[in-house]
Amino acid sequence: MAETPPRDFLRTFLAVATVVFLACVALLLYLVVGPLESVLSYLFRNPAQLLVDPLFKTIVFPGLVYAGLVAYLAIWGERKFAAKVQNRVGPLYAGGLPGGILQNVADLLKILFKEVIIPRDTDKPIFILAPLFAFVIGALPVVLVPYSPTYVILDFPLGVLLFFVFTSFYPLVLLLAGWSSNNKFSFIGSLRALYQQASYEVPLFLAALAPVMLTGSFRLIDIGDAQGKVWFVLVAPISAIVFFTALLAELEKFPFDIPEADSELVAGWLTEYSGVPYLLYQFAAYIKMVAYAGLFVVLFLGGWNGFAFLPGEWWMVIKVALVVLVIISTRAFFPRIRIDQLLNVGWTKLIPLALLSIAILVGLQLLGVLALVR
Amino acid sequence: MDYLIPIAILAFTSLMAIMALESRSLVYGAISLGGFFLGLSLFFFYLDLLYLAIFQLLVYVGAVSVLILFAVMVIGEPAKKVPTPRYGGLGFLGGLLVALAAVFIALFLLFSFLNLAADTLFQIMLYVSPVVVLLAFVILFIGEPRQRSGYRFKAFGILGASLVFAGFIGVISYLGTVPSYEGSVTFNLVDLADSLLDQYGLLILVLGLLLAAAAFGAVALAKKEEEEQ
Repeated sequence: MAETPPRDFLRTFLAVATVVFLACVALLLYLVVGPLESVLSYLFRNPAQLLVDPLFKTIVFPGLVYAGLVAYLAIWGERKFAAKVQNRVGPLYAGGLPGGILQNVADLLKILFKEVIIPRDTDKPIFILAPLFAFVIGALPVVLVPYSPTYVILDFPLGVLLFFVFTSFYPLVLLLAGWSSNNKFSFIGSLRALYQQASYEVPLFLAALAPVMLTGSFRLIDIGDAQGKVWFVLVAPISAIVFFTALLAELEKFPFDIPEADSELVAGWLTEYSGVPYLLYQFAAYIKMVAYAGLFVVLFLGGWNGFAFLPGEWWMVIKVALVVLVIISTRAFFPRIRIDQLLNVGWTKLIPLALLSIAILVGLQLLGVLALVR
Repeated sequence: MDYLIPIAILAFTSLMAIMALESRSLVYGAISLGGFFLGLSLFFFYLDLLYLAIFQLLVYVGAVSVLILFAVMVIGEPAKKVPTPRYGGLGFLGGLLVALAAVFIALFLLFSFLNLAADTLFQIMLYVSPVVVLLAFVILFIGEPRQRSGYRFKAFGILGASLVFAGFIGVISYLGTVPSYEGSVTFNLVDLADSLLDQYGLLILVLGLLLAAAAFGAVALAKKEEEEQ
């Protein structure tokens, strides 16, 4: 039997490869273009309704793009602000735009091309899945925060409680991440983070009870609407302070930056993570910050109520930006406290203060003062 | 298509329950227990019992499973691995079927107590579950003698648990209807508090006593172990 000449083989191979390639392209076009066209036609079927469409709300305004943008600006602002306060320059050159605002894009590209290192003795399924869960659970609370009665993705009758449900899942993920790394330092770091987050959930709940009591509803839109006359930060200032302090601890921001103390420990429970999983954790942390800032504004700072020359959503955006600025500015102003001090403050100071605030509110209600602010 | 949702939740919950019992790694078992709690709360969401669902998530998934996971991780896996028998296919199938049947029966009882039984799915469940139970017991008894006894105990345990669950639902339905959200936007907290104190006062008292007894029992057990050491 004569051997097939190599040239014929090459020709056949090329022909088959071309056909397969064209088939793949056709399949891709069929898979991508059809759904894309249907999404576009769905979006543009009624241009007047485009801005309040559920899809638009989920993807663009109170949803992913907006939250991502605020998180991006918060990361840049944190570096720049802390640098200015400490008389450094901070991000400067990247991108040629003022203030090195494209520095994060450069960092993102760098981190995307890094190798994802999975150490040998880790528990692989949990080690890989934990960052994904962290990202999803960190981003979920954004869904619940209303930016006005129209701009809310999920209007849930027990919104405050559901928000705390999502945030109470976070310690679970964190514990799994620390344990699956199979590293003493990661595990101890995750235990410290667990102590912090679990013990500061209690004052957070108790402080969030004050607006719920004042409104008589767990629905976040009702709570925002009830502050047309007086913001609840003026009615229940102790609760607002307790809530903000507990919020800083839940977000692991200064002065409660203990689990991931970047100048003392390596990175706490994040030690073994690198590349994209590390990115997912950091992004989850900042998205969570946007959600918590929105919740604080809705519960205590009047929500979308403001002067009439701007629509309510804009007031909400401005207030959230200010709260985020205050949260990130703590990095420049406060030292880090120790873990025993942290737990001491949480259990012996914040919880009694939150209970005291609730007692004061009950007293005011009995005296009939609260009827004036409604 | 509407039947797919409860069946999917049922499959998820049963799978998680079986994994929580049968998993060789304690940590994976604890995670599966968390998934099982999550599946239960999905059932409550499906039944529009929002308040119950939220507290199931907040207390059980958010706190209890974290506590269990924490304890398991801190204590660590036993250094000397207990040799677990490899289960045969028939025994496993029998256990799975009994678990499914038990959940079917419990669900059917729940839905009939809530007067939702007009649904065809639950009539199908009613006819299917005795057949499944029979099949499961036949499989269990013809299985290999070395394996089947453990599964028999487990099967009776699951059936007993589902009967206790059904009895609990019966007590609730005897005392009054389950507080429901019923699709309205407003959720009246005052009504909920009233019903908890008036209508379900007895039930809460009994549950409180049960919990107190459990707490005393736990303390007694811990003290006994300390004395032994």
